[in-house]
Amino acid sequence: MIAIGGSRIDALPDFPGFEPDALQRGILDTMRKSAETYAYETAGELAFELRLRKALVESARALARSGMAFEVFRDARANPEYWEVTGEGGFRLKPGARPSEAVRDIFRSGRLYGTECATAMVIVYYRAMLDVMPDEQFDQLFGGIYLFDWERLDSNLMLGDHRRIADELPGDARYFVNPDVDPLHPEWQGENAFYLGGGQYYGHGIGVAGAERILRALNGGRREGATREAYLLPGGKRQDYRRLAAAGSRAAILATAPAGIASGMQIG
Amino acid sequence: MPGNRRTKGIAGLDRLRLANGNEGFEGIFRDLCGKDRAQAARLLNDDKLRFPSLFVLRGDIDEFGLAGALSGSRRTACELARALSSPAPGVPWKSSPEHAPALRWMLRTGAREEGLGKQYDAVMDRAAALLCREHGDRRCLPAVADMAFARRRSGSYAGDAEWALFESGDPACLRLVSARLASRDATDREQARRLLNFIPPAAENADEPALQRRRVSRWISRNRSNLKYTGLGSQQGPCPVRFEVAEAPPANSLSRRPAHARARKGAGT
Repeated sequence: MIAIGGSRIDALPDFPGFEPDALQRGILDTMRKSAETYAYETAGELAFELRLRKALVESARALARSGMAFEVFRDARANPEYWEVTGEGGFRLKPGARPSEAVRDIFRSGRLYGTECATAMVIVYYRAMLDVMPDEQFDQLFGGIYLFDWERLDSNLMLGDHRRIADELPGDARYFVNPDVDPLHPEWQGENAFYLGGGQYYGHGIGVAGAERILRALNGGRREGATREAYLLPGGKRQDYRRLAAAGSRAAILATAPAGIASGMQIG
Repeated sequence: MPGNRRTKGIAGLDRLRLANGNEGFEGIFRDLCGKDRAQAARLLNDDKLRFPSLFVLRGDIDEFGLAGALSGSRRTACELARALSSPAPGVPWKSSPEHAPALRWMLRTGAREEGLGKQYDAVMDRAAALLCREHGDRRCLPAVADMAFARRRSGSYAGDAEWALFESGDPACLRLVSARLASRDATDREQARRLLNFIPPAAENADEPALQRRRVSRWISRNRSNLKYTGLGSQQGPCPVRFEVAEAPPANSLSRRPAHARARKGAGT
């Protein structure tokens, strides 16, 4: 169910200046029917979550179309105009490069890039954030951007890893695990994927596909004599949408404040 | 060649490599093969030879038809070096018990080598994964841990070496990592904390490394018999729960708080 300001709502809430599209109405529908309580202080917080979830889905689809290759970290590559590829296979923003431009370039010049699935997930998060905040705010928040699996995740993305999720919602990051992976191909130990809705996922290296196809691909990378099949973990990663929405409101207020105050803003 | 303190007691080929660099070394070996193949084969079969030299020469060994003159385990190591350099995608690896001694030799003599390039590092990671996972070898774990931490210190990719270490499924790997929590090297400490961040004390007391290490060690000791490897690693998320406490601790520690109550229930929220 959905609760706003402590009260359960049964009808679609009124979102001033925002009309949910089909994907977002589907999310609302799942939330309303769920045994889980999706609680918000204001309808605006819920609207922010819907916007960000849609941005995640669109960014994931855009990355799938970008032409970015699957490469193991040792062979990772990036456009040298914006990124330095580090010895461990991460992408470090070059001095002087604007984070917002550098992230957009991955989607624009995808063929110049190659990395593993976890980094692709992180790229999608950054791109979605660009859709819900002005470039100046993004550049300020993510000035030291470093793209490398989950390890160097910026805390300003406010990502939480939940061991179980009651409902699978578009924009959730899921993990398909392959316990009997071939020891010589650890890149097949699992697949990170965004749920796009309608039973479709985007996992870098596999593309946009149903769970069955992702599992089939992982099972094809198992060891000799494997007995365990790949499976989808029950958990998922979600951003803390409420905190992000609150931080976004603060930023909107600070954007009108003197420059010195605005530049000191931190989320989290 | 006269020996010095650095090269005394090591194989002739290793000494040549250290003195001449990889390219010079290969040139000298090729000259030798042209003049005296039997001597070249004897040098390759030297008991003290280290794997990095064999790795550098693997192409020359083929070119000069020396593979047949190699001793059994050396020949296997040469074949493994080739196969592990570029394993065919979609073709599952076939393990054989006769690989194990050669893989052990590769790890024992080659894990500390740095600067031989990405392909060498990849071969070592794959050798480690085979030994830890397919052959159930536990003696190699310290060498694999050393390799993973050395890679991180040098700024090269360490993820597959770390994965191989944990894929042993043996809680002994936790001890090897926890020992680095109190390392003098800040990179080691950070890497150890990250790898063990599913253990509650590893996320605390970061400014007191010795205390942190003691607390993590106690946690491992207390839960050791109940720790179960989950198969999750850094590919899965920022805080993968690599080992879970599977059940309540043994009867002799019932007076303490149950182990599962202390185990962190996962990352994030």
